Amino acid sequence: MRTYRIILLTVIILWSCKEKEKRLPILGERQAIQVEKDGKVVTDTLYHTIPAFRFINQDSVEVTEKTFEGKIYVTDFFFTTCPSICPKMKQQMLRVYEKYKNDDRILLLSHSISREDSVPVLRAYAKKINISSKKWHLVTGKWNDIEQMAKMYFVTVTEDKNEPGGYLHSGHFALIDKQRRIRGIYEGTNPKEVDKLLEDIDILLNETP
Amino acid sequence: MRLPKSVLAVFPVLFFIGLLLGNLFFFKTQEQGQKLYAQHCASCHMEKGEGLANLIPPLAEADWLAQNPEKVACIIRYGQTGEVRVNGKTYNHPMPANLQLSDTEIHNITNFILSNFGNKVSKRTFEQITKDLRTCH
Repeated sequence: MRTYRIILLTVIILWSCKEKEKRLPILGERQAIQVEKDGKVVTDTLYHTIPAFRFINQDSVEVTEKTFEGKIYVTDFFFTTCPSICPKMKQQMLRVYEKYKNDDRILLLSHSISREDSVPVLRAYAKKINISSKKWHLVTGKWNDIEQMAKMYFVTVTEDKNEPGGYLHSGHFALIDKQRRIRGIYEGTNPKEVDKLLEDIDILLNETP
Repeated sequence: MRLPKSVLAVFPVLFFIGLLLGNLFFFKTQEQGQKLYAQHCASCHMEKGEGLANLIPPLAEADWLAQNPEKVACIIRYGQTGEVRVNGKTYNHPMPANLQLSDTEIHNITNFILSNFGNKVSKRTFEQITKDLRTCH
């Protein structure tokens, strides 16, 4: 009898220890809203969501929020002649690119913050770092639109003549889910943070909705 | 003339002090070169001098450095545009100038690069560097 109890107890303990599915946090401000569901008013949470956008990529193709429909993506802000942190960011983003090169569930999006980065400049840059626009979009657009989008991803972008290259920006990578919510922010110049990003991407890909 | 023993005993001590100071000087310049590299060069040429894809040429085991050590100082100070061929690959991406660096700082960075990352190019003297910098175009 005692043995049975011990076995039962062990089973219960082990059951309760069963690892919960890992989920990433949802970042940004949230709001409680009242929505009508099946004729009843219920409270729902409204998360910080990336709004619609319209930019143009290295192949002169329009890139909008629809491009990323049903996908998760990693995004950052850079410019091709940036002498400070960008090459390191690109070195690290290339790690993400190489790892998920053949995985259609994920895309990369880099916004240029320089007015000089025209489509041909972006195309030449893409060629030099040997990337395909099927996976990684380098986009340009109206400067104010880019700056507004940066705020949405919690990235700082300003024009500053005293900075090397003429622009000041933070080197963060943001991980965005299928519902266009921010699920992680990483220092794009730090290989350890990018290790974490690679782990988080796998968690996000395996999350049940 | 015979010197008293106590005076003779001072010589080895002086010798070692000299050695110590020499070492300190050597490591200090090496260390400054390393620090300056991290500050001004590593963000593009990377910590181990590996460069970036076909965009930024490597400094590690770079044949170009062995062939053109006298051009390094000018490129550090004034940057570079146009094509450059390193280890069989052609690169064409502008490098910005670093006008804020002094001759001494450029000397230390140059020697740090020439003797690290697998490069075994003979170091340049300060006189050579100042001469290199006078002939930049």
